[in-house]
Amino acid sequence: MSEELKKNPSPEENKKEEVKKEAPKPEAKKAAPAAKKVPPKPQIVVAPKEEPNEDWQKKLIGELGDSVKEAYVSVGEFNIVVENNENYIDTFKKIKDFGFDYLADISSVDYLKYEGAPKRFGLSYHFYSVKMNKRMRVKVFLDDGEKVPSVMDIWKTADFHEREAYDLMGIVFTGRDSLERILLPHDWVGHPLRKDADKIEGREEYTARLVRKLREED
Amino acid sequence: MEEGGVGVGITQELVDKFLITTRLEWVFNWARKSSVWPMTFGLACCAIEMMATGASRFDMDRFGAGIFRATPRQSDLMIVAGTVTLKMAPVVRKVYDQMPEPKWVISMGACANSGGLFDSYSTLQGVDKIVPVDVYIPGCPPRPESLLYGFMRLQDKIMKSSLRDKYLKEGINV
Repeated sequence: MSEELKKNPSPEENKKEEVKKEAPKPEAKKAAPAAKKVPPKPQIVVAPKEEPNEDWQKKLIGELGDSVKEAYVSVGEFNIVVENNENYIDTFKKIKDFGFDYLADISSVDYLKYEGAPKRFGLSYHFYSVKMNKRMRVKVFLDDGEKVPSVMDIWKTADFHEREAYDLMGIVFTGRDSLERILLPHDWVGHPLRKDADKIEGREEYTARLVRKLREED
Repeated sequence: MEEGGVGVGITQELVDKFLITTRLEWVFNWARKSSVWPMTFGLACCAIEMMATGASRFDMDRFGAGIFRATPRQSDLMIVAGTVTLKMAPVVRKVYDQMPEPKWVISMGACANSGGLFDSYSTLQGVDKIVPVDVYIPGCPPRPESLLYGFMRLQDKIMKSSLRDKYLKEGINV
């Protein structure tokens, strides 16, 4: 019976196949004009936030107390949002005492062209604990021109990370000895990763100066 | 030597068989275009294509240009193969200055031509801001055939050059 069915499919099955063949055509026509539309402004894609469940996470949140503005687990990563206030350094000292002895990175973000960010800039401190084998992240949001206390006294390695954030994004850290450029030449003007100018800040000026210097040497 | 000093022994037969007359300029240009020695100088991924061009499959030696010199002082041609960063720009200029005249520059690939996709704070937007470029080769990276074609265009350019050019460039009226 099954062989016969395959050879001579019933009229109902024939109809289904026809429908399947016709169906994609109108969809494709609909999709084409949609693609021509101007893409919407980029928004912050927020992965679903979960409550921190693990014991060490709850313990750390308890120790930090009021300075924690928000704490959540997103895509399996533990995040804490803090505010730039007088408890800022104490919070980081507590995090270090808790066991996060390695500061892996400080990344700076410009949220200017994004919708829904609380403030213009953001800093993310990425920590790793060697003895616990755990990772966590501390976020802080900043206005333009807002200064942040340096964590160089707690983690010496913050020196290079803070200089990088200052160099490329123009975020100023206080309470440390010198805040010099690290990647760009010392005579560079501006901070090139800021999003407020259409041009890359300082590149044309620096190139012009460089070309002039090379011609003078010639 | 009774029969001949120079000129006396030149018969019409000798002229037809062994002698050609031409312009000095043409000979200079022909010699120059047939032995353009490039410099061993690669900045990024375009250099891989440049190496392939120099190797046996594409064989730049056919044009007399297979000898990549290890020093700018023995080179005639600088192939700027790759992204020129702002940090590298003074070095490129210094190496160009060390090459003896006559010298030529090929800008190879999108990055050397215009900065390419690296519209960033660290990249020079076109090597022609710091050195005079003779031939631009598009591509990302250009295939060895492109580089060979660009090189042949450079040879054409060399054949069209004149000894007067140098003096005109220096402001001496010939």
